[in-house]
Amino acid sequence: MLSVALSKGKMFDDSVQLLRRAGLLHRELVAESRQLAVEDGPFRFILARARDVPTYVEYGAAQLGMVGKDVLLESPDSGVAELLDLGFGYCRFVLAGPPQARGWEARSGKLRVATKFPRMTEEFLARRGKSAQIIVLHGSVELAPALGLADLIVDLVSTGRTLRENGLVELESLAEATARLVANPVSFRLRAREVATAVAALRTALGREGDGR
Amino acid sequence: MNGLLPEGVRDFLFADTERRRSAEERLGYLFRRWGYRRVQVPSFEYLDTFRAAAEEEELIKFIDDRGRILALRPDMTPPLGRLAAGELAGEPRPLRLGYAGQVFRFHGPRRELRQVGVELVDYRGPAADAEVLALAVESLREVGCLDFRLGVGHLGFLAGIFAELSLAQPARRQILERLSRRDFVALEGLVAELAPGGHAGELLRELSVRQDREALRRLEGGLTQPAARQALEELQATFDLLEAYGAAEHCHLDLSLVRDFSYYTGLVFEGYLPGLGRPVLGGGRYDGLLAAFGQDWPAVGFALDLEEAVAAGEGGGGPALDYLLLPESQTVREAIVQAGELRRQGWSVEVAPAGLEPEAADRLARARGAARAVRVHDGVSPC
Repeated sequence: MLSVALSKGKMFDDSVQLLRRAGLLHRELVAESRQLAVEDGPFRFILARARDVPTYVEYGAAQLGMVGKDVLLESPDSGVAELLDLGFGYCRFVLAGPPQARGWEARSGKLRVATKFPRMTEEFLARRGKSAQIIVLHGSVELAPALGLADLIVDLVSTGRTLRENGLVELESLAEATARLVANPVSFRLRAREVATAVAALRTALGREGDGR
Repeated sequence: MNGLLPEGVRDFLFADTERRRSAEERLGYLFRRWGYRRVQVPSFEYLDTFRAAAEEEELIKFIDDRGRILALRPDMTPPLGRLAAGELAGEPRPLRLGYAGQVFRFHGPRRELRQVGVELVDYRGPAADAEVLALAVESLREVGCLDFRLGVGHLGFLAGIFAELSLAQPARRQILERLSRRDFVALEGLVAELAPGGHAGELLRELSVRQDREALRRLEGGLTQPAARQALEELQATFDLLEAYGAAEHCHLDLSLVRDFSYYTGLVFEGYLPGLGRPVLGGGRYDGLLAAFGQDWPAVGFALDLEEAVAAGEGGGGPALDYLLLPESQTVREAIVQAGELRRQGWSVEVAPAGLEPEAADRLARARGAARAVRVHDGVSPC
């Protein structure tokens, strides 16, 4: 039995559809269900919070997982193997601020940057050689500049609408992210055949050549 | 004082300590039977000793009374290399060293671990590689692990592919770095970008495909570059010898395996246990490391994570039974003779009822915690 951890939330429907197209999932799977583990043929599907998926896979509670690259970038030490780009769930990390924040790099004085993604933010600022105070929020990051809480924000956007509605403009694109198939580094070697079969089915469903990985 | 422990360290109480001690003792005897002599090295040394082997930020560092920087050892190989190339430089070689000791990490969920392992110094080629791999297999059996697998790769193969594609140094590093992180998505993107052609390019794209020994023979055919061919020939020869050791069934080819590539130069391997998210054992060939200590000697070794291996081993600190012999009805006499021979050598042996079905034999081997279950056919000896 292979356990597959699926992210509830925005990627859930796409994950389920892909699994169906690949012929790996036949049973009903509902994100709001109270049943958090569903067995289907040789698989057990585990419904988890997106941020917990790398942890499940890292500790081997699930052998495979489907999760956004954005989540993986925030937990880079999890050591999971990334096997496939699933294509859906596209989003970008951007640095944004009010229009007058253009030319932020030239500004003197210490910047305050609000974000839900302290690691990404810290790494980006270090690359630019800017020191800043990072303010960690858990939601509504777009409000921070208007409230005087921060000068800039680092956030995930898919269309950019939320930014515009809050009077913010994109200053830089830090990274792009799509959904990934991840595997426990030991399982994908110890149970190579089962994992390879699942990966080949997903590849075919994604319309890429089945190279058998 | 709050009596709490810092993150990443733990106490071991009675039963755990006893199992670790007994497992370590068994491994010590095992190494001795294979001609490896035990040494002990200090827990901390000058930072310089570790420079070739570890990133500085991964080390726990402190300063002595004369202002020199010291570090707790992150891994046993650099101190053993220092010892082999210095103090022990006059010993006859190949030199076989065994050790057990704590290693320390600055980060992570486990910051102090106990490693047990060996180094085989100034010995090159498949005979040396197979000996160390076989001893790794034997070590996992010795601590009672039954269901395990070793992934075996070769950095010389990748170096050959890189040379065949005339890849520049930065591209090589990027590929190794992605393999080390097991990020095959990024690898695929990078390879698409570099767009290498020909057979070598194809191999690079297919690196993460699981490979068996037939694949090895197939790969060999299409390669023109001597380094990659030589690596594959070495692996082939190593696997042949592993069969003689009775260790081949546990060893699986995996050319995408690079480990932390900082000092490995050839063979690399990792041991996996079901239900454990990290490798329980790791090793490889490091032909450049001893040069840092003044001797240009090739070497190969492995280290086993004692705590994880013992936790996974069934039957406590060692296998409850070394051999379960499974005779056919016409080989009962032979089984008895072989059991006697094995017992004289110090092994514990049980002879199963004749003619057990494979499933029943499996069940019995598990129930007994037997390290090896051996079918006794006409004229085939398990010894």
